[in-house]
Amino acid sequence: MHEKVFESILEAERRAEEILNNAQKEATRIEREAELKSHEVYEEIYKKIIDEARQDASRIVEQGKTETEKEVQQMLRDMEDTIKNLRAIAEKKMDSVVKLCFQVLTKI
Amino acid sequence: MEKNTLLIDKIIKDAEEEAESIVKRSQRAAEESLKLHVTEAEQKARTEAARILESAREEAARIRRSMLSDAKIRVNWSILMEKEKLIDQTLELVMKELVQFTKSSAYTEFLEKISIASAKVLSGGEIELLLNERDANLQLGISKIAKKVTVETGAKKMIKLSSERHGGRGGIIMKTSDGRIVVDNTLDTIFAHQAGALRLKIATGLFGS
Repeated sequence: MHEKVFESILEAERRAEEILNNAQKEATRIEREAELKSHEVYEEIYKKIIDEARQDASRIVEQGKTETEKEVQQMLRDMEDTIKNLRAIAEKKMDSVVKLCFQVLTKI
Repeated sequence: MEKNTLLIDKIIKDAEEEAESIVKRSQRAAEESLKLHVTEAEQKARTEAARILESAREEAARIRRSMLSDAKIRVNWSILMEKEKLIDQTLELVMKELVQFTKSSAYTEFLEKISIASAKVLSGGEIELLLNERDANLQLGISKIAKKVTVETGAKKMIKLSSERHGGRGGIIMKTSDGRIVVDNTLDTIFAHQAGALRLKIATGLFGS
């Protein structure tokens, strides 16, 4: 009778040890998977943020170019007006300037 | 017998609880590790992203400065070119005015005055006066010119109309009879000599600077 009891206890302890071993293996598997998953997630998140930043950077540069191009076009339109005014004013003064130059050349 | 069964059950139950605890600890550690990696990735990426954006802003500013600078140069250059065109246009009109002048009655008097002025700077007694083909037909008072120069300089001067003609649009060339000293006062030469100064005068007159 005692032997049978002792045998049962030993069997229970073997079973308990097996349960703990299995748990330890499961824990090791979970940790290994977690390690791999962590690296994957790290790479994904890093890449996603950097890709977004690069897209934003391209947008900033392109937007800057577009806005500046508009300013340049306005400058060129203003220049056309400036040249028109310059020519109009100069043409009004031209006769008197020609006379002045003529006087300089024929003055003895 | 009942007591033994309880003991066996307890051994198994304790093992199962411990096993559950081991797995849960491991799961918590896995979750923590994941969270930590996510935070680290975000922090590192945000820092790098900020650098990328700052660099893009600097690049945009550099491009803007360069584009505006090019445009300003282009604007200034175009305005300058337009001014040059207007100055050239004015100079052409001045030359036309001079050519027109050669057909006026005042021109003969001008030729006489410029002949006197030219003869005064020439040494030697005998001076040749060169005119262009058209002006050679004008009635210039050459002896009157010679007399006036002689009186004004106190040195006797003789002026004769050369058979040689100059190719200018008007004005005169005077030279000593040995040809060593030549005074070129053709309208073309006067114009060419004065062109630089005239450009300045024209610029001031047309543009106020």
